[in-house]
Amino acid sequence: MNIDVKEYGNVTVLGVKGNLMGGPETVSIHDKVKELVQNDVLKIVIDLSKVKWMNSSGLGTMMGCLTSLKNADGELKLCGVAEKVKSLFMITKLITLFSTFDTVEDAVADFQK
Amino acid sequence: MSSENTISMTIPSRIEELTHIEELSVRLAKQLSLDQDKQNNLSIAITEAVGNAITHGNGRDPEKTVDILVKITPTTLTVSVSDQGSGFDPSSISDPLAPENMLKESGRGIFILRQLMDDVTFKFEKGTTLSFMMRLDK
Repeated sequence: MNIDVKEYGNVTVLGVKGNLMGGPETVSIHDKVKELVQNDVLKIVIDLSKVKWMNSSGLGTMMGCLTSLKNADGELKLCGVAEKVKSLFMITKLITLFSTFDTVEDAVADFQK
Repeated sequence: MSSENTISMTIPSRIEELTHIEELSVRLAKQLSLDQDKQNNLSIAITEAVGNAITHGNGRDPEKTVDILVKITPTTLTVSVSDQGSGFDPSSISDPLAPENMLKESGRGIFILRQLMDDVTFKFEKGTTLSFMMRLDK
């Protein structure tokens, strides 16, 4: 999966594209987050605005990313979550574990509070 | 003339195959003129079921195969996914909403299937066959 990495001050934004349905690309997102955590990058936003679908593997990857960051005293925020994807977060109640925002700018700004 | 159409395919147990399965779901949705919501549900359900068969049923052993059978009637779409694994006890699936399971990275697939589809059943013979049904008339 092509992961677009951008830095907004001390916040790193990972832009992902495609569908997170359990293929190798799904795993690569968590690998990227683990790599960043190892390099002490601990404020991360995952921009899901270009992700149309996700299944339980994609949700599992998001959980893995969240756990990797929390274990390192970091923080993960999500933005641009499509309605269909958000409905999966809601029926699995994972929505209660994540901070979600409409835009990258909103998510980045929340780190500055 | 039969009012039931069937499509069958067999794939090796490689996770990369999920891309083709996703494409199959989009073709099916177009053929059935499903609205976007149902198309999304179908794509999620098929990739869940086939992903489970590849990963948990066949242990990603490419020598083992996954059979997919799609049956379409005027009112229902039924997809059956069969693996060559040793089966499992559906009652052993833990509740993904339980607080002790919320942080786990896996264990939500069957739960999501049951939420999105109108019926989900299991059959255990030579491996596991998971079938799910979507009503087309509502």
